[in-house]
Amino acid sequence: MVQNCSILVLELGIGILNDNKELILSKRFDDPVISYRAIKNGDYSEILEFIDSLRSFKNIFSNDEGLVFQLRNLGLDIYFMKEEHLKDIIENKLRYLILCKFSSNESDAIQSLRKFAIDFSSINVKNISQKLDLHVIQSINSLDELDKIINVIGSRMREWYGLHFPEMDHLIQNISTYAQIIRIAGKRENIVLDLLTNLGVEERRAEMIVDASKRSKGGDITDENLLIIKKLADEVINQTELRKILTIHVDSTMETIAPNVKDLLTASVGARIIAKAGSINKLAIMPASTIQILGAEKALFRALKTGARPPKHGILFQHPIIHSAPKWQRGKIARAVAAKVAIAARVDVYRNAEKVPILLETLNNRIMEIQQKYKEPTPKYIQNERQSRDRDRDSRPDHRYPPRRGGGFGSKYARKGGKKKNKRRFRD
Amino acid sequence: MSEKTFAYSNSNDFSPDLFIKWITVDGERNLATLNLVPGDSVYGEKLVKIDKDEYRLWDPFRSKLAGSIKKGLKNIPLKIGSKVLYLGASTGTTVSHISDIVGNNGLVFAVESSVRVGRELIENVASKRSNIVPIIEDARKPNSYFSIFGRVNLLYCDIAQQDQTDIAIENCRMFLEDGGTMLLVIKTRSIDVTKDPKKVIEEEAQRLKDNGFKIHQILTLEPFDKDHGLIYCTFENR
Repeated sequence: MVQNCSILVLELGIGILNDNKELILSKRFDDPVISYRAIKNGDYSEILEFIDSLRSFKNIFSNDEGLVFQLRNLGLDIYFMKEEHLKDIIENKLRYLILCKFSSNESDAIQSLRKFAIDFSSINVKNISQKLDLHVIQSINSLDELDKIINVIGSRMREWYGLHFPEMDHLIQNISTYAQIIRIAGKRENIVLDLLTNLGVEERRAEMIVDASKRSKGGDITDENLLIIKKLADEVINQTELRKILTIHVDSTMETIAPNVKDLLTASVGARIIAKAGSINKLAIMPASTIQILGAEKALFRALKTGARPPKHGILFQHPIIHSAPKWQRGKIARAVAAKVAIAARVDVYRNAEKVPILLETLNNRIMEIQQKYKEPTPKYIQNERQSRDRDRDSRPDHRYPPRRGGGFGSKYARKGGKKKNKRRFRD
Repeated sequence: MSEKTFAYSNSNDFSPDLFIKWITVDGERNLATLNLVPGDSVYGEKLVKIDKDEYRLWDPFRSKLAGSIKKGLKNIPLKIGSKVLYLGASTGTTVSHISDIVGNNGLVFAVESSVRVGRELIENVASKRSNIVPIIEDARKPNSYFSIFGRVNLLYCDIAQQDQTDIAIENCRMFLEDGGTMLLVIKTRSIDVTKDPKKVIEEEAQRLKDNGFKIHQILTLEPFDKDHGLIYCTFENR
């Protein structure tokens, strides 16, 4: 007799029922988490052994869409279940689990389901935590933090060593070279020509330093103090070393996970964009307009709330081609870059990071077009500039008071809190 | 579920057979729930012993449900043995208190899409409390939830998405029993930053009415949470 049947893919196993909801056969997963995951990812090896016994049925229904697709390719008459049937399975899942002999009673079924949920969720968490883009986000963030650390310790080191040898401060700009000199020479008397040239200081400058060390205005330094400064210098050298490693690391990881985004944006800006988006997958589903202002949320929401002009670029501003462009071209270039980045991210995610050099080519063409077409400031730009300049002048506090008279100490017109710096209008 | 079962007012205590209490600590009235896992503090909250029972203080600034109870939620639609679907479980602060209230015979399905906080949900809360089923999935795809079964008595939704109301309604259709309760936290800033928060809450309430919900109470969560509201409604016709 020809019958219908339904294949239920449940958390704990696969069950095949007839129309009267009686069990025909069932298979309990040995490892539910692995098997369930495999089925949801389109791997049907668990079900293959049933295929021959399924051929005798007329219509087959299943609650797994992917399974329907796969088995239909094998020539079975299989359909996706009707919605009421699907709801029935969720609603009476415990009964079905018992019916398929996966659980002995309801509380056993609940416990198994809970155990499954914890294991399955944990595996999901584990798999996602392994993704390289999450690591590149951590890398780029620690790179930024390292920069801050190097700056802070570096300036302290300069300041402190400056008590002993103030003249070197403006002769050596590079913080790492400065640290190396302290590390190797210690007291200023020990700074010699060879040492400096070995560190890559050019000869003329090296001579100036040695010269300065002989008639320095700095005071003597105790060994104790010098030791601590040396430790600081060590710190600077170590962190600079780590920074180098990180830069290379970000570069190579970006090359594997997002080569197209990297091509368009450079590794560090690309990594920052991914960091802001949350993951490369999230970036891939973002519209270009969002990518364009990623990192300028504050300005965007201000624009939405007050009707001020919206930001032209967020993190994209760090792209050399954008921040080196004249102001009136930046918005246009940012828009073009963002549009290509949106495509590049999608290629990186959905086409397994296959290189598509034409993206960069067309982008460069477009940028050239913008640079030629808008060589001169656009009328709109000039108008906007004029308006914001006027607004600035009106809102400057000095103009609201009568002209200054004397303004001596304690006078009504004295400036309070020191000289007011002209606040730079910063559009991010 | 009749309203009377849970009715309380801010001045009276809850009915004694609930696992939730007002406790006065240092002259301040605090909400507290009976600790399901004695000795375990989930997020650094204070543990208070009363006779033999250990209670966990419930901070209204940390949990919007506690905030809304403090603000006078008419009725707390939870009792021992309730089944709850919780969307936006996050690290499980509120989930842990709900798990306390429903007790070992109850069940909390905790849905969270973010892996980062999901990890903490599993580690700190779900693996220690036998009535929590963690579901790391996107609340937009209720079809892909695993380990969920039957219908729930309460659906609590606290997700920061622009279409949070639609997501909640979709989940109610699939998993909430007829006449079941939904508590929907409205994050007005996620829906529209430019609009007046009050207006946003009204609009979302109207949308719920259009979809067969009966609104019982609308609260704002000031001062516990800025620009947040909570709608207490029941699912009347499918």
